[in-house]
Amino acid sequence: MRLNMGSFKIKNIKFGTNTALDGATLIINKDELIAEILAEEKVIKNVDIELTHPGENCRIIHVMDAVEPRVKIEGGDSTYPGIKTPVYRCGGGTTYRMDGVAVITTSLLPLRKAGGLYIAREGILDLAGPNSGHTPFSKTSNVVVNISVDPNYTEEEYEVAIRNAGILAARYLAQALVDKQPDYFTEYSISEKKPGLKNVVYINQIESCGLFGRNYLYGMPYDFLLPTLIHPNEFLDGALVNSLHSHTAVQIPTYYQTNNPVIEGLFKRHGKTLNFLGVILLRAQFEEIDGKHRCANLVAGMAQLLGADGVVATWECAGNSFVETMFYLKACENMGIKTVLITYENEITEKAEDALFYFEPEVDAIVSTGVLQAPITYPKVDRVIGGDEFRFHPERGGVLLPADQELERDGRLESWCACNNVGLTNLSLDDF
Amino acid sequence: MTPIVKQVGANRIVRGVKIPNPWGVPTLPEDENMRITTRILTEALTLLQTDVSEPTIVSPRI
Repeated sequence: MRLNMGSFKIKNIKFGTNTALDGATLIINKDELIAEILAEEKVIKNVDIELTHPGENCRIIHVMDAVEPRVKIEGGDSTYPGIKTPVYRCGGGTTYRMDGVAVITTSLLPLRKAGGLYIAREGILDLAGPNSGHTPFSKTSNVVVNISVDPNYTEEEYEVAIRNAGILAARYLAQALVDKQPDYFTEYSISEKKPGLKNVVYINQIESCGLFGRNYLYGMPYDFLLPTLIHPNEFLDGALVNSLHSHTAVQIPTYYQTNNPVIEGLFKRHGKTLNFLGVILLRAQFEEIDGKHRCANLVAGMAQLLGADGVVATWECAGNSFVETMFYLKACENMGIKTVLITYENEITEKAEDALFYFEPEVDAIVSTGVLQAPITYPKVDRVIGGDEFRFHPERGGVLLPADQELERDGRLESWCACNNVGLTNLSLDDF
Repeated sequence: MTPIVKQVGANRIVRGVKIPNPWGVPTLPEDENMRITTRILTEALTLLQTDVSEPTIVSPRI
């Protein structure tokens, strides 16, 4: 399967009469975009669209997901298949994308639970200042879709409606690229393997354990499913869509899977320094030890059957999902498959003496993407999008604080994607 | 979760049912659920009275 990706470098976005591409500027018909979303999603009462420009002194709050506008030119009917469009095996043919634009959905959902897993928490995105390096969105032009839901529906319906809104908006905007000439092309293929090079598999672990903690594969919730094998091109056309809202600092949004830096990096090296064999996709957080061993053994077994010499693994979210990660990496090492893990760490304190809450000694090659409990300061900003107040601590009924004022927090749990494990960030660390 | 408990350094470990419901099976009728809880608790109390020389895991019959 070969994918020809045509990219358009978009430098500016603004509202206008017709949604179209004018040179390097994307013009957006605001009312038409709003109507497109409201027509499909009865659960959404109100939609507002706001635009941000690179480096603007601005903060987006109640962030849900980010989606890159991509359109299928040849080889399929639509990107993000399975989300209100028919399922087909995507990743071949031609796709056009906007390089420099992100649709970002926000929503302050009604607070119906106190805490636990199945709850949407605060996500804060700074586009300027000391936190702007956490995500690529301080350098992109962002189309922020602010969603208010109708309080008469269920939380399951909210999750799906918000997910759909982001995808619909991204698809709508990407229509402006059809019949235009991309600025550059990238070809994605892993068909030709070079003999003599080491074979590498990417293990892409996602979280899918229930409401507000889901990933969708071709529109199917990945809850309770066992590991599977996917061609990396399928991620580029949006086979995987994210709805993880309970742990915003470690979310891997849809944008981070279509632009997955591990996949991009392995493609670049394919046929040169390694052979990229494919991607094992799985969810963890099985609730009994047997379930964890079952899942982990299947992952390691798949890597071995593919003929992997090495694997790169990332995972999403937090908690006992990590036990499976350690189990399958240990199993791979014991099979003679070398492993590398990319993960965030926990702060070492008197009470918590280890950076990783569970580990196996065989897993000894680890790349850190940051410390989840590192203190963070959100500076004063000129403009806040998505609301006026942060809503922290749902377990206390929701603590509201003004979103445009300076705030110090002793952990970055609410800092959107600050510790995501695929490492899509503009920050790095030198340790002396 | 017993591997984590063992790694943290606990010496006496009783294997529960599942992460969301370690003490029983809430989908069962109440008397059966209570039988399982009682069994787990009894094994825990027995283990507490037992001398151990290394981390010891018991798995009550669920």
